[in-house]
Amino acid sequence: MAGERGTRARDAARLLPLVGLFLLLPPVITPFAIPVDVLGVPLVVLYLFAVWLGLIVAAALLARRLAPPTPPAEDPRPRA
Amino acid sequence: MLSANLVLGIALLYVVLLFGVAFVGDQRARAGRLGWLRSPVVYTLSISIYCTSWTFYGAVGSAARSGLEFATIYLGPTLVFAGWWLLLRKLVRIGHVHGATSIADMISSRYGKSATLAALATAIAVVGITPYIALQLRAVTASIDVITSASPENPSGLSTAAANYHAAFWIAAGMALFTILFGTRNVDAKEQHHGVVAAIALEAVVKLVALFSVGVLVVFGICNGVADSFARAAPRLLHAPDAFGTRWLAITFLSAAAVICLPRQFQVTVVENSEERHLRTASWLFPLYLFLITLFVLPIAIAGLSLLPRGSNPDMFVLTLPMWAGHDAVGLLAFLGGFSSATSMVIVACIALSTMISNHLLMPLALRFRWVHLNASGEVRRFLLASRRVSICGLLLLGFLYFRYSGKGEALAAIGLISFAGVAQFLPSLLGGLFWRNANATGAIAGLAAGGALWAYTLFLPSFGPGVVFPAALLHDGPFGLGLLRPQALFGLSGFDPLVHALFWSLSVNTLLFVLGSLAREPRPIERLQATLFVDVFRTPAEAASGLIRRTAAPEDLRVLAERILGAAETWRVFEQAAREQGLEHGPPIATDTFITQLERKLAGSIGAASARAMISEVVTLESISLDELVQIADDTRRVREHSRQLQEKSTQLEAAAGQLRDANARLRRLDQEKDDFLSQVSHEVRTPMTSIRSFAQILLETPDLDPQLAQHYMRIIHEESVRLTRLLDSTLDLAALEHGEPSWPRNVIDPDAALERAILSCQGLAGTRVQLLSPARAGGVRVLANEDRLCQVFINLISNAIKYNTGEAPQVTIRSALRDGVYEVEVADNGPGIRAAERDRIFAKFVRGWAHTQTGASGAGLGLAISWQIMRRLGGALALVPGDGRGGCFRVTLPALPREQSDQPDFAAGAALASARALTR
Repeated sequence: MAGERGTRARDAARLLPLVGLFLLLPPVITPFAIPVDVLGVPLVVLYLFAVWLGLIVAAALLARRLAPPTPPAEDPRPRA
Repeated sequence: MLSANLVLGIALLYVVLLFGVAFVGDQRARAGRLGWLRSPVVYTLSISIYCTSWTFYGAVGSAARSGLEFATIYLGPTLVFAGWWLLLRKLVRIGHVHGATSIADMISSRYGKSATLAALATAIAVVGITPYIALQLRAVTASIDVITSASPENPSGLSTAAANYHAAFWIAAGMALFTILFGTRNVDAKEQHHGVVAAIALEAVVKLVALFSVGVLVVFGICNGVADSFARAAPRLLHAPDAFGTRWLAITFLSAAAVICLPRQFQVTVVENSEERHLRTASWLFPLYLFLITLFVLPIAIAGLSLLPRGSNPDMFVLTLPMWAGHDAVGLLAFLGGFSSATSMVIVACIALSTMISNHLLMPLALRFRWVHLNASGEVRRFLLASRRVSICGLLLLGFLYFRYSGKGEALAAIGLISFAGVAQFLPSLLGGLFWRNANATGAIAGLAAGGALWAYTLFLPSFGPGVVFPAALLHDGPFGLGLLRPQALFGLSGFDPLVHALFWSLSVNTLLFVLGSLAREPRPIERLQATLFVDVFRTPAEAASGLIRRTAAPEDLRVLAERILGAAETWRVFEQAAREQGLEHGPPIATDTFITQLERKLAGSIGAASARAMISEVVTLESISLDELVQIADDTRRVREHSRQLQEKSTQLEAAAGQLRDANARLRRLDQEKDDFLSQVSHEVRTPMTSIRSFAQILLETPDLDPQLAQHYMRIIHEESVRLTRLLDSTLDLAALEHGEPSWPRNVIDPDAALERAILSCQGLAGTRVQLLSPARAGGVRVLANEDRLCQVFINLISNAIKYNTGEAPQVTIRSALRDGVYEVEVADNGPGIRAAERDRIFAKFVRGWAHTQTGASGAGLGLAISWQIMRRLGGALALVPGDGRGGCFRVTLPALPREQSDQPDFAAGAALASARALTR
C-alpha cells in the first residue's frame, strides 16, 4: 500500500542520521583504525568513505520514496 | 611561477564572468523567467558555499596535521542533510510560511518577535563570523602570494614570508564592492537574490572541478596511483590511537550545528529556497558534493608531506603541489577554485549579516532616535539600503582587522572552528523553538547571552594570541590571578583541547539557562501564538493566526507606513489586492485584523519580524491577542487526536449496533419465515377437512335422490371433519394465546397426581385392550401451584400420543410420578419406535409430527406437543424429551413443588404466599 510504504520511508528517513551517527562515532569506528591496508588504502579510510557513500545512497533512495511534500498552504512571498 | 599581473588579470576576468552570470540571473528573475535558476541542482550547488577556502585549502592542511579529523567537518552536514526530514524540512517550511529573512529573524520571530533577541543574535553572528571572513582573506592573500612567488625551486609558499596585508586590504575592498553591487541592489519584499545564487552555483562547480583536477594530478601524475600515494603516508597520520576521541565527537557535532546555524547557510538553505521539494534532492546531492570534494584531500596531504620540503605550509599544498610539479595551468585552476570558494562565502555571508545588522540593529536604533524621517516616502528604503552597504564594508573591515591582529601561525581550520563554535550558540534556542512549545524569550536571551559571552571568553578572545586582547598573564593565570577563571581552563577544567573546552562550557551553560529561563515564567500571549505557529507548522495554517491579534488602525496610517518600506508602487499593489479580496471596488481596504497581519508579514519580509512588529505597533491601537482562540489553536493537535479517538469509539459502537441490528434482522427473518410456515401449515391442515366437507356437501346438494343411508354416512363425515376443523382451529388459537397473550386461567394449589389420575382415566378408552397402561409409582401428597385442567391436558396429550403411535408387538405405556429435590416429576414412557434422532430437536415445534414414520394412520395436526410445551412453560415448569437409547420415547414433565407447610393451607390465595410461590416457580 502506498500510504504504508510512505510511513515506513518517513520512519527510515528519521532513523538514517542516527544510523550514520552510530557508525561514524567511537566506539564503532575505533576498531577500524588499525594498520591494515585493503588494495593499498588504509582500512579506516575505506570504512569511513564507504559508510559515507552508503549514507548518500540511502538518502537518495529515501528521497525517491518519500512523496513530494505538499506545497505550503500559502506562500507569503509572491514570486517575482 | 606566474606573473602577478597574469594572475590578477585572470582573477579579474573571472570576476567579470561571475558578474555576467549574476547579472543574467537577476535579469531572468526580474522577467519572471526563473527556469534553471529554480532547479534543485542550482539550489544544492548554492548550499555548497559550506565549502569555503577552509575546505579548499584548509582541509588538506587539517589532514596533513591531524589525519582523518578533517572529515568530521563534512560528516556533520552529511548527517543533517540525510536527516532532512527531521529538522531541515521544518526549518524550510517555517521560513516559507513566515518569510524569515535570516536566522536572527527566525529566532526572534519564534520568541514573540523580540527585538532584543534579534539584536543579540545579530551581535553574536557578527562577532562569530568575523574570524571566518578573516580566514577567507588570509587564504586568498596567501594563495596570491604563493602562486606569484612559488616555483619548483622554492615551493614553500607562505611559510616564511610575512603576510601581505596591503594586498589583503584591497581584496577585502574588492569583495565588498562585488557584494554591494549584487547583494543590495534593492530592498525586496523577499530577500532572495537569484543573481547571486546563480553566481555561487557556478563557483561551486569551479571549486569542485579545481580540487578534483589537483587530486587527479597528484594521485595519477605525481604519485603512482592510489596505493602508491597512501604508501607514502607516515604511519602516525592515519592510525593515531587518539584519533576518535572527544575532538572527533565535538567537531562532528559542531559541523552539524554549523550547517544549520551559520547565517550564510541559513540564507541559502532556507531564505533562498524557492521550493520545498528541492530539499529532497539536496538531501543526497549535497552530501555527495561533500564526498567528492573531500575524496582527494588525503592523497594531496600525504603527497605534500612526503614530497615538499619540510616547513611548507600544509594549508597551501593544493596550490604548491601543482606548482612544484611544474603544472602551472593546474595551479592556476586551483587558485581560481580557492578564489571562488572564498568569494562566494564572503558574498553570501555579508549579504546575510548585513540584512541582519540593518534589520535588527540599525533599524530599531533609527526608529528610536528618529534618524529616519518616517513621514518621507521611500526614506526607510533608502536607509535600509545604505545601512546594508555600510554593514558590508564594516564586516569586511572587521574581518581584515581580525586577520591583521589575530594569532599569526594558526591553521585555517582552527580559525574556522572558532566561528563554528560561535554560531553553534544558536542551536539550543533554534531547536528548542522548533520543538518545545514552552520555550520563551527569557530563556533564549539568557542562553544566547551566556553562551556567547563564554564562547568569547574561552575561545574567541584568546584566539588573538597573548598580548593582543588578553595579556599573557591573564591567559596563563586567570584574571586578577584567579586560577579558576583561566579562559582556557575554566573552573579547573583542564587537559582538554581548547575547542572542546570552550564548546563544553558555552553550550552547556547556554542550554541550561535556556531551559531554566523558559521554565521560570509563563509564555506571553504573543510568544504562545508564535510557538504554536512554529512548533505545529505542519498542522496550523498561517491564516489561522491572522485573526488572533486584535488591533485597529487607520488605513491611511498603514498606507503611509507601507509606502516608506515597500515603496509607493508595491504598496498600491498590495492595498488594491487586499481591497479586491475584501470585495471592495476600489479605495483603501478595511484595516481588518487579517489585513494588518498580512501587511506586517509583508513588511517583515523586508525589515524582519521584530522591526515590522515595532513599526506596525506605532500605528495601531488597542492591540490584544485572543487567548481563547490561541489556546484553541494550540490544542489543535490534542483536539485532532481526541476527535480521531472519538471517531474510533463511535465506529466501534456503530459496528456493535450494526451487529445487533444484523442479529435482530436475522431473528425477524426467521420469525417471518416461521410465520409463513405456520400459515401455510395451518392452511394445509384446514384444507384437507375442508376439501372433504365441500365434496360431500356437493354430492348431497347435487343428488337429491341419494340413498338416505348413504346421505346419513356423508353427513356424519361432514360432521366429523367439522369437529376436526374446529379442534384444529381451537388448538391454533390456544397456542397463539399461550405464545403471546397472558394466560387467562387461574392457578391454584393442587395435587398434581390427581390430575394425572384423571388423565389416565380418560385415556383408558383410547388404550382399550391393545395398549397396556402401567403406573408403577406415585409421588403422593405433593402440592403444586397450577391449573388442574391445563395440567391434565398436558398429561392426556402425552399419554394419548404414547398410545396412538405405539406400534410395538406388546404396546406398553409406563406413567410414573415422583418428587425429586423439591421438583414434581412425571415421566410418560412407551416401548414403541420412539422419536427419530432427526426430529428430537424440533419435536416441540408447531406442526411437527414426531411419529410420522410410524405409519399408524393416526393423524394429528402436530400442535399437541407444542401446546403442552407452552402450557408447562406458563406454569413455571418444563416439558422435555428424555434422551433415550432409541428404544421407545420418554417425555418428562417437571413442576416445582410447594413446601409442605404452605401446601397445607387449603385455600391458597393470600397475596404474600402467592408472591413467594411465584418466586419459587420462576
